[in-house]
Amino acid sequence: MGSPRIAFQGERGAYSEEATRALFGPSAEPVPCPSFRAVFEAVASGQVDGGAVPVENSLAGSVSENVDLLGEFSLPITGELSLRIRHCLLAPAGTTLEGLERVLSHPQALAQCAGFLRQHGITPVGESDTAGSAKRVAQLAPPRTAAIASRAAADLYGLTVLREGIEDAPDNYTRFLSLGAVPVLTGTRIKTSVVLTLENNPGALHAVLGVFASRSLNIIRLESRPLRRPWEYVFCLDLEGAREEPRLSEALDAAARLCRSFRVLGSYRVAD
Amino acid sequence: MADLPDLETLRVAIERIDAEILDALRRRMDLADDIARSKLAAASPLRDPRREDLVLRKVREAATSHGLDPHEIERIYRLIMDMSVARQQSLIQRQDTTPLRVGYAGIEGSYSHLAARQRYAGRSGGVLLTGFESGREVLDALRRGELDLALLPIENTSAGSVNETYDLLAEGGATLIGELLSQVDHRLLGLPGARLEDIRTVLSHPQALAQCADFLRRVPWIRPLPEFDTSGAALKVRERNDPTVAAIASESAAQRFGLQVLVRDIQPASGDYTRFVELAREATPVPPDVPCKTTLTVVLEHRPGTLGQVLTALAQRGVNLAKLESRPIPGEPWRYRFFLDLEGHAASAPLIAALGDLEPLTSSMRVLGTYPRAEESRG
Repeated sequence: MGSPRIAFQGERGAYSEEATRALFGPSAEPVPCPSFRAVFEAVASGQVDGGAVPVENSLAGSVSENVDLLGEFSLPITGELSLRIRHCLLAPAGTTLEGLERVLSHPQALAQCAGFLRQHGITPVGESDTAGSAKRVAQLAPPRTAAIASRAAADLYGLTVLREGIEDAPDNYTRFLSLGAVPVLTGTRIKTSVVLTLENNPGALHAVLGVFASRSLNIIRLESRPLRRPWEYVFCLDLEGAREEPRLSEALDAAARLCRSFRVLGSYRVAD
Repeated sequence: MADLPDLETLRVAIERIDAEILDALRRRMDLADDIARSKLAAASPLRDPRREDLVLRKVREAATSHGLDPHEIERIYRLIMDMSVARQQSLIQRQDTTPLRVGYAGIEGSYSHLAARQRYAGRSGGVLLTGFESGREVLDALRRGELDLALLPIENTSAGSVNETYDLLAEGGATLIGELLSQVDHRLLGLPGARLEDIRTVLSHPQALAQCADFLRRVPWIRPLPEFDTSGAALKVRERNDPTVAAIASESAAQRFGLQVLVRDIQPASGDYTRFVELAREATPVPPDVPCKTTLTVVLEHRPGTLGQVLTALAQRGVNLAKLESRPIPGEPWRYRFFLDLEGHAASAPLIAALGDLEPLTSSMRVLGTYPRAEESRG
């Protein structure tokens, strides 16, 4: 593939755009989409070659919407990457930290910088995404207002970085998955992701997980999401290993027989 | 200047008006007693700052139309409202039976307030409800002994788990003593006369926006914006007075803030429920014949396969897992704290045995509480 077109959610300068480059290299052409759903739709319809979506943050936890969309669209998962998130405080040139009253950003970014904002007496205002709030601040230049976004967004929209790394906890990583097109990753670890629903009887979850546990296959992650019927769930399971390995492949077959629905979304390499 | 009344006549007139003002104040304070009693019985919060803001705004408007300085009148009314609240508080302290002090996150008319009313209204001795800005503030007040109970949302049938509550449970200092299922009836609310096709922005709590995701996809011209709570979003629509702004909130919020229901069915047809947990400082004993659940939180030993071993141990002891949730551990990327809802009493033989099996697989394990299972009201 020469320069694959890779969809991401958000405005130019979003962390997701950074992830598309980290996954697919500098030659990839990032394609901005207004929503996560639009990313999945663009990949499913073939408008783009692939997509990159965040599924989990090391401080905030799962990105539930994308976990739901993975189950709904069943697009092939082709790779995984952890991106270090360094939030920057951005404002038009001439603005000072002392003069700030408000800051715009995505609620999750605001929450990750809550301590910094409290310390400086700055009021957080929720926006739909980080890069979008940088764009707003650059275009509208509201007085005494800054945005929290990436350094890339500052460069893109001509804003000044007042402070870099304002997140409260230093270990801020977001885990991204690539969909569709296969990125060239050098890591040695392979994961297999499965989504499943269970028959509605107690003990069904035990039975399925027992299939893997009894074969000493490692369950890396188990997540449940509501099924739009009270207290029934879709389960998303990440297992260590590739689906072609005989032990895992046999376990997947055995587990599938115990489930109401069972889909393997992919076996993929994890970036180092 | 001859027709100007003499000073004595003017003073008499002012004294007469002062007597009227004092009489009106006395009648206003008498009403405060009745309000306190009805708030205790109906499980309404004693003090609601945002509601007071609304009252003060009306007062300022009335002052202006009477040709009075709105700011001076507001100062007087702040004093009157403080007097009224103090009177209500002293009445509550004189009650023979102490009212139950319950805290939740949200303002009056929020789903948390509605759930609290559903559970505690009509309790003998009354209920003193207090709405806080966040779950963290509710729990802090409980830990300080300012509340007897905290009611926090933990899970919704369409948006999933409420992460903030799980993270607060992990901190400790509170015991789970109950759970409650409450139906959520979202409506799209706008100013009277507003039309759906003119709406450009919808405000609500992120969970409510997630619960109405299907509806929002059908109206792509409306931009969702996160707000602190649903009822607060409704209040904001009223304050902004902009017919292009709507809120997703309850019907009761519509009535409270004088908004119109623009669209009624904006949720999945199967019905939408939120599960709340009830927290106290001390555990309440659960009688042996009551079906119950036990919630525990564990951090697993850092070696592959432990999650599978935990689940296998539970299965072998015949303990059913009702729910498994994981939350990240700050500072340790991709390591998790798990929350397990198990069926049964923590003091029952199978659970004691299972917890014994789990001990060597975990680096920390804590029982958060055993509590009666809420009735499943399947929609």
